[in-house]
Amino acid sequence: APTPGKAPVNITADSLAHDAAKGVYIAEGNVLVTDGSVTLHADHVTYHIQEGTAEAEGNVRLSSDEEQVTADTVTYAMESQEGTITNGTVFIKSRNLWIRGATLEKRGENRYTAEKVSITTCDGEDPDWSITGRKLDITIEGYGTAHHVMLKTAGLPVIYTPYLLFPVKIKRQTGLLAPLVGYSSRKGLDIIQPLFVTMGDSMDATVYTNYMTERGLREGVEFRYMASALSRGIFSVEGLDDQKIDDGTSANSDYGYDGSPDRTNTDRYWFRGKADQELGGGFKAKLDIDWVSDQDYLREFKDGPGGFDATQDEMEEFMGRTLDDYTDTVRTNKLSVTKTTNAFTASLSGIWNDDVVARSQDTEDSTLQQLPTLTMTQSRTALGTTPFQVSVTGGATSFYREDLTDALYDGERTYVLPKIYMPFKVGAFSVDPSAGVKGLWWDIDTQDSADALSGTHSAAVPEFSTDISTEFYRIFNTDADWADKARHRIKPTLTYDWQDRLEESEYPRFDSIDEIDGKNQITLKLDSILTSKKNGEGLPVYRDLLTGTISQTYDIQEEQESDPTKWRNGLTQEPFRPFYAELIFNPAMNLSFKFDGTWSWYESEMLTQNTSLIMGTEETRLFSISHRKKRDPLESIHESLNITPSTSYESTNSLVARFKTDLFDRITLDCDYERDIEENEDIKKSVGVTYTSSCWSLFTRYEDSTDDTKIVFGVELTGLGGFDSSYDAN
Amino acid sequence: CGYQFTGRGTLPGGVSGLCVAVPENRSADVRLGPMVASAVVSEAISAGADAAVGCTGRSGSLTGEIRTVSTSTITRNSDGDSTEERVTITASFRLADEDGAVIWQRASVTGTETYSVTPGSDSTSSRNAALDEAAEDLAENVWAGLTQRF
Amino acid sequence: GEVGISADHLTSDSQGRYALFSGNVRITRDGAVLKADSVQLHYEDGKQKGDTTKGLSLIEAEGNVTMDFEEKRATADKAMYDLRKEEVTLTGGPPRVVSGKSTLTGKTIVINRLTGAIKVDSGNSTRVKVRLVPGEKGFSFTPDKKDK
Repeated sequence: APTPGKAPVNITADSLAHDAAKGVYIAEGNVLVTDGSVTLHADHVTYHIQEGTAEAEGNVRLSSDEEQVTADTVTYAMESQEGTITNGTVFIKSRNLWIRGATLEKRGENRYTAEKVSITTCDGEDPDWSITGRKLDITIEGYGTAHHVMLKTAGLPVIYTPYLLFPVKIKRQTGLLAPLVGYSSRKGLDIIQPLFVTMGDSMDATVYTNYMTERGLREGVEFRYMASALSRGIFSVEGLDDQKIDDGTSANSDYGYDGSPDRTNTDRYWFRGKADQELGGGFKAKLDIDWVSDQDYLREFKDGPGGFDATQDEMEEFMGRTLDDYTDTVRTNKLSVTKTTNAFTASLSGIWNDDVVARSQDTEDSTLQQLPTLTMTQSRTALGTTPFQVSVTGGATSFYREDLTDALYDGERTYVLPKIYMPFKVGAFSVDPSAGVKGLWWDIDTQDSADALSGTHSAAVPEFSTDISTEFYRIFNTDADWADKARHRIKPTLTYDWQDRLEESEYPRFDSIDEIDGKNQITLKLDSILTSKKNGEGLPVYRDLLTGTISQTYDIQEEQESDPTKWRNGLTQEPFRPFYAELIFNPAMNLSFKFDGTWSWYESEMLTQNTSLIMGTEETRLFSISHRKKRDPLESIHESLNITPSTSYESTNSLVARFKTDLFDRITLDCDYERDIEENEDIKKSVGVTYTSSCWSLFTRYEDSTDDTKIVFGVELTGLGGFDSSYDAN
Repeated sequence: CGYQFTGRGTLPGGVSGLCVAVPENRSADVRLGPMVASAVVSEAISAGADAAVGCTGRSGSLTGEIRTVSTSTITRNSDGDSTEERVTITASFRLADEDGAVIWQRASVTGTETYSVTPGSDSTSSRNAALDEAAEDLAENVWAGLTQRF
Repeated sequence: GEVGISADHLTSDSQGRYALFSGNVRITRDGAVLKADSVQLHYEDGKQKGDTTKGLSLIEAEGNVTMDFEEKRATADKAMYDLRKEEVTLTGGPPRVVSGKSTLTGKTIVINRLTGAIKVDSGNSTRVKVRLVPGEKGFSFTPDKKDK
């Protein structure tokens, strides 16, 4: 658009008089004044030539891309784009926001102030709700602030707040205006009030206050900054002086969770943050912090603005990575500096896995920490022009445990795994053999220095593996309405894996790198994909209708092993590993059915079977149901050998369903159901109803879960702010 | 029976050889970038194509970013503790020909793996193992996308 | 101020009641130059002095009328220059005034060279249109005080 003040001003009118003495043009009758970006309509306009200001009276309309003003009188300065409006209404198109005031000042391109004002996003003369306030200051691209604010619905004052700040155009949904009000057996009356503060365009902060009649006041602040595309961060801290504790007594059972240790501390807090920082020279630093006062905190404050879910969504969207899940009691804190060139990556990291229970209960903490660890990885690159490819992974780690035990030790470990590949083709078959030797050096500190594992060890573990695969396909001319053509591809793959074995008693084991049980197995896998092709106007549309995989492994090492204690389950010899099958059926957009399962040949029963059906999308209508069943192999073996069953089997059988639809044109129903079929108990039942009107929406939600039983309701004034979208996506 | 062997693989735009760059990595796991690159190369080689990481001079170059890595509970026991979690890697990939013109792109390809967790214990090692599997799943989906056209 | 007139032809009636100049008529008055295809002079209270300029009350110019003053130019089909009121009324064409890149047009334009006032009226088809470019001097045809 032309730059104000430089652009020529065009005036059209029925008549015009130039008064040279006053240096003004007086235009009468359907007058239009425009400089290309702003247009002023009025019955009568006095235009001051020197100052470049227009005084308009009578049916005045001032409009630009962003807003539309109607008023009795407007004085407007073309260059500074400033002006005063009397008895005016400012309409902000992007947010459908109406601002009415006796006198309003237009301050520059996107900003308005007003002494006494009423704001609403409802159209029409008597809006369903409006906010009256004083000293309004609103920026179209950013935020609005006002004092002595009264929310009125149908003319009745409902809520008063001395100060109000609301997002005008910012996408982020959380807004001040709508408090989240709920009642639950855990918290009593529970009101969460987020408040936005913005500090320039690349930093903002959100403050939360959450008052609970049973528990007290929880407050938190989240700070977000973006220095550049690659350097950004989010840091949040919140805390509460909890009036209740969980000391295991039935009276306090509402303030803890079954199966989790007692929680007797009252000063509860959660500090978490993630940051990426560009260090120059190709070095990048990444920080992840997650420090919570006790193991129940994240479950207790999981929903609503400032809760765990909101943080998790925010972290994923803004930082691309999430925190450990809310029920994980060992939480990762990590700082790493990484450098990546062509195919080589090196990074130095310090990792502290904070065992929340050990720290809060002040008990033994033998969690394995890596302070620091250096990892280097060279991906599969060609070795000059030879047919060989080579890859190297390696690392040096200083392990540390706060409390050593007779079985748990720490110390240093260095390892390197060079691998060489020689891919070649035989007819239609592709063969990809690779061989490598993993060199390991340890220097172990044990609790008791006489322990055999104490001191230095080294080992060289050769490994070899090869893939032999081929692929064949056929194209069918279906000429059906769902596809003009279809292609069916079948890809069999034979894999042989061999790796030497390290005796667990002779060599230290920290993680998967040095947990080397040896391997000698053959796996046959069959992949099959049916793809449809539909010619449309533009490019043809392809869809993988049916994708299937079956795989079977034969364990030669198990077969040759005579010592029962070395068998995989220590009881029976089972060289044939469970048979695996997976099927994904995706006949149309937003409609998918998935099944996967494993079958035990020896117990002749399904060890795992998972099915899921998803119809629709989160935005429109959605029906999704997922059933997951796992049978602990030990449990079935114990049964068949009638050994006395122990309670710690890891068999699970659960159902999760979600149903969301709009009933009439304004009401949406959103139900969740989660059941532990193994224990025959419901984990969570919830139903939410949302009524959406043109400029506001009201919603209520009843939730009964093992964690809490609660009823929540809230109002969202569309365009001005509402709930953090995380509330329903848990 | 009408089936024929795929031979050198059906990459778009007549690309025969593939250079895979280590994808940008926004996740906290520093190994993920090189691991995904190697997995895509192994997938390409097992389909008969000729591929390597970080090379130049082949007729197609594959670049991408790992946009998000998220873990979420998918199964809970009656106490509400999670017993199964799923790690999901979401990435975007582009295939460019010799003179840099983009001939294929996918804004969102995912790789997932579920793993079981025992409530109250440290699940970091099983999460890392699951991440390796998810990277291989991602590579399979990238390759399936690359060779989808016919 | 003086009025200078030049033209290709001059015709007047035998009693000098009016004078009609035609063909490249050029009239100068207080720094302004008026050109037209033909110009008719009118005299005060009927004194008809033929070609003299004394007692001149009204200059009626018609056909490709242009009036230039400093860098401003007005164009119209017809111009009536009332010398007593120092007021030029431009009609037809429609009349336009150009000063630098600023332009002014309408059905009739009345320019008062004493007060500098300009009045523009629109007709049913032609509306008043003004284009003001910031920094330009505007449409005044008034000579500065010192010339008087």
